Amino acid sequence: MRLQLRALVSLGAALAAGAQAADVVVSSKVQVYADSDATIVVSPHVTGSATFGTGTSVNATYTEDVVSSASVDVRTTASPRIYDRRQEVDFGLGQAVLGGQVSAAYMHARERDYTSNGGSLSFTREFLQRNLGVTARVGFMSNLVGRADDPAYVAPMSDWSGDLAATYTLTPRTIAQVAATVAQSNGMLASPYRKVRVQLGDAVTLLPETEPGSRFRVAGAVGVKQYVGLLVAHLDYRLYADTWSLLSHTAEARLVLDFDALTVRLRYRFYVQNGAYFYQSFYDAPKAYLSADRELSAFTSHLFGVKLEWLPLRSKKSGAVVRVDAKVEGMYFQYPDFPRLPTRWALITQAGVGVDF
Amino acid sequence: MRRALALCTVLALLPSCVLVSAPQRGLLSKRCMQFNEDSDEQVLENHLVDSREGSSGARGARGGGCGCN
Repeated sequence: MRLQLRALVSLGAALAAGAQAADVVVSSKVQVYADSDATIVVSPHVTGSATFGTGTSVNATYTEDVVSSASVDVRTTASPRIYDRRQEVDFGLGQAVLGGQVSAAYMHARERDYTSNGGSLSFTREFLQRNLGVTARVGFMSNLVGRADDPAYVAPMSDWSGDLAATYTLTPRTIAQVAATVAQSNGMLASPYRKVRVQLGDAVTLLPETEPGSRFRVAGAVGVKQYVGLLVAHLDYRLYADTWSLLSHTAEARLVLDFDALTVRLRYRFYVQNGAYFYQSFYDAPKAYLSADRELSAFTSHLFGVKLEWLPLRSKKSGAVVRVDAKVEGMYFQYPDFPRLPTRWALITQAGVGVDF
Repeated sequence: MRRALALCTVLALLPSCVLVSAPQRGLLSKRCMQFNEDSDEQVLENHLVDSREGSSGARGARGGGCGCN
């Protein structure tokens, strides 16, 4: 935490020292995820951005995941518990042009058995006297999948994605958003560790997971926000489908109590998906594709929780705003087609601080 | 074809909606009225959810991490 604060202050000082920076924002969060499947993930996150009078903006982000797990997935690899660390850096550059904002971003992430490099280009522009905002984005990610116990093992995997989103101001108290995404993944999409139980003659044996080497995904989402008195009501719905015959629905409702310097958010999120066409928890014979990945099985999840955000300092002289926040959320998963773990509980806690200079 | 027609109709009707002028945007400028009011939270949540749900990847998702590999 001390290192994170030091990084935050350094980042803010560096950005604020930039010539004539019109707007500088630095923020940091720490998230802790713990579940009943013996997995704990601690994720510190630091980010900073600066926008200059010339219409140029820059941003940088660092995120880390420190993972400790003895989940049912890990135990099928004959390991009692794994420890892993994932580090990610993101850099972005934006420029006001053609009446809008064009942005480019680069990301690099690595862990001992996984390396990712990617980039994206996006363009945002407002129309109809700023009542309609449209963003288009294309992205590419190149991944190298490895095995911690086999330094010679390397399998490539790539992702292309495209997004289009529009936000429309309906009334002085109502805004709505529609968004669509397509993505194509190719390469090693299965886990190089996971084993699948398969009946071979009279014996049950463990075979490596195999999945199709290509997957096309499409998703659409709609959302609306309405301000009513001291309340903000926020509803979201997302529909997802892919070429593995996986279909999912996500519905979310948020209620924010706005006391100006303090906001209290209550939230409920429901998620349901069917299973991928080749998923089975147990195979009575070998097949072309074998997967016992519970994330590809049919399941539902519920998320509920509360978040507080407080502005303890707002300087009228300099315009600086200090923001602190904290949230506690619970998740409950039900896996009717995954006998080794029919249910799972998770607790997500998060604390953050940010300064707008 | 019918869906495309419906989408075109909606897009064509959008300009006919009442345009909200700048002085009327007091509430809309509040942080709690933004769709991405806390991008740091969104980044952490997308990463967490993408490795625990089958419908990952249609949010510019990133590979690996969170004990998902």
